[in-house]
Amino acid sequence: MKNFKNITLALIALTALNSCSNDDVQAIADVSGSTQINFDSKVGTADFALNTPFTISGQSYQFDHLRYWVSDVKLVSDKNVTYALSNSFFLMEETSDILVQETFTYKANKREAIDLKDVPSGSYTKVIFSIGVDATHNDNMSIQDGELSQLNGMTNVSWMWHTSYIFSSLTGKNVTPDTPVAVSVETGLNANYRTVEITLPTALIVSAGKTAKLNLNVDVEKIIKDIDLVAKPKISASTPELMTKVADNYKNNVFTVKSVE
Amino acid sequence: MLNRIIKLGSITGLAFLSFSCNDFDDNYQEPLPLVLVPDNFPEFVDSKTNPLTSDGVLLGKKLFFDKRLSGNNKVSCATCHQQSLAFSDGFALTKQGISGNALERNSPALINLAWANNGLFWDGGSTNLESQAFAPLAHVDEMHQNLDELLDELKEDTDYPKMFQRAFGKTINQADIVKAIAQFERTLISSNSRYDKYVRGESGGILDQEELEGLKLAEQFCFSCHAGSLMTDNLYHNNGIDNDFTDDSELMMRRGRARITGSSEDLGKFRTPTLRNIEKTGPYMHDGRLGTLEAVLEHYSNSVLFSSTLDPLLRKNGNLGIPLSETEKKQLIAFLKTLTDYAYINDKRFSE
Repeated sequence: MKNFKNITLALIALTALNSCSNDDVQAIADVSGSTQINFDSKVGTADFALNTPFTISGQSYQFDHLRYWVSDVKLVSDKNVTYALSNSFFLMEETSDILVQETFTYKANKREAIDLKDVPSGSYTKVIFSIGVDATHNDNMSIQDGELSQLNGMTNVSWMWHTSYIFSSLTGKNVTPDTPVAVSVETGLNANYRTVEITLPTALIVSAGKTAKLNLNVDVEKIIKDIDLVAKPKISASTPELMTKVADNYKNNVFTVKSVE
Repeated sequence: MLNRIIKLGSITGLAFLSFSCNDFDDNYQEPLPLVLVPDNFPEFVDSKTNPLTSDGVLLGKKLFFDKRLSGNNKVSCATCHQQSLAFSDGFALTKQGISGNALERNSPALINLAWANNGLFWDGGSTNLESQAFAPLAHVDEMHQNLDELLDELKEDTDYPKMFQRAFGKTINQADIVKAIAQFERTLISSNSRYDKYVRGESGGILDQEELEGLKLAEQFCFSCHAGSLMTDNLYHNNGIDNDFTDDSELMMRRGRARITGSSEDLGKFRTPTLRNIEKTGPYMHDGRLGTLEAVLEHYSNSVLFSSTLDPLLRKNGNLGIPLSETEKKQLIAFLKTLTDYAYINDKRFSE
């Protein structure tokens, strides 16, 4: 009787698999537990927090938001197999309320994790992702993949430089002077799109029944590495060479591996 | 003017209605062409991400004329793009937006935008009509529409939910709003001026002596930039109306094309507007500073200013500008007026 039950269960399982398309069967067979990338914001070694003074290059800054697009996430396995999440756009952020279009409020939010779906089991040794929005999506705001939207305050529809997305934005104030100075560090030109490649110190093992986690440090201090925010508190389209520097910092300096679980 | 006929033989490009499955029923009718492109025009290349459909164009037209698209429900796209003026508005810098503040740029005429493939706005700050539409919709001095609230407003309409479903197979969303408007805009084709008929050898295509002399002058002095049948090269030029483009303000408006490209070689350059319907689209230049065609020709003749990015064609043999006699100016203006397309500015397909 017990055997019969087991056979029945096996048959049901088989039927369920068969009802899927071939692609699905492949996916289900290979797919593991969950996979997550965490972007843990820091200022040097301290945890990043809003409206909290941090000393950077001798100046005291209080930030009110840190936001950036992570897109086209890829994991590369030790067998050189690539898992790619195309047309993926994730808005990473730690932000106070934002007034969008001067008419409605985007609520304060903290978001540091990306859940990757259906990552095949394997041993992953490299992570690749881009900061910003690729030219196809940036130039045509009606192609709204992933979390791209006109409603999150990460667009620039009001002619500041272009009808396009803001790729990254760090804003707040320098509170060192007697009268605090607003600071804003933004990128958003197609030329600012950067792809980050990080080789992992230990492999990210994705397998059934396990939650694989890749924890990255995001060092806010490095976003403005080699940039004099006292001389130029606002980095935007009118300072394209500084935007390039910020974009390069995102590519080369901002992200490091904290841990692999 | 109302007996416009585009002979089938003269039509080289046709985009037909696209059909969803359930269109094939007993009431099948021959598809009507969505756009008619005469053979003196370049090929019509449809958008790959937003191809024309009859439902999309119909929806776009309704949206184009709908004042609910503005924050105070008093301004539509058509407010600043009036058909009688070839979809321009007659103001130098309009104050018709909901704030009542003057805009930074002259409202451009909407003519043959399906071929405007090298940037929109006077400085090319938008790459396609879809993205472009978000700017006036959202801008605080234009329609200043809360794009979230807009969905609720449109959902309350008796027709919109069905029309969006038919056009895009989805409920109302921001992306499909701009897609529909862009589709309607791509159907705004002006190709039936008296000059077009002259070029195509069609009835009514007669130019008098003064106009023909003007045409010769235009061929000599104007068509290098106002080029081809579209009468624009879709490029950016410094035509010598200013010689100082220093602008360190956030918007950098005076820099012209350079505010977008960041290149000093583009300082003071602006998009070449088409000469089509030019009689109707004044005042002229990116800021509407020149009120009449006479003033425009006076500029090219006597007032061109030198700067390092000045178009070389306006500085031949070391001389600034294009010297024109009073007779030549009159002849040129006579010719320019043959570019008015009365069929276009009266076409019911483009009317509310």
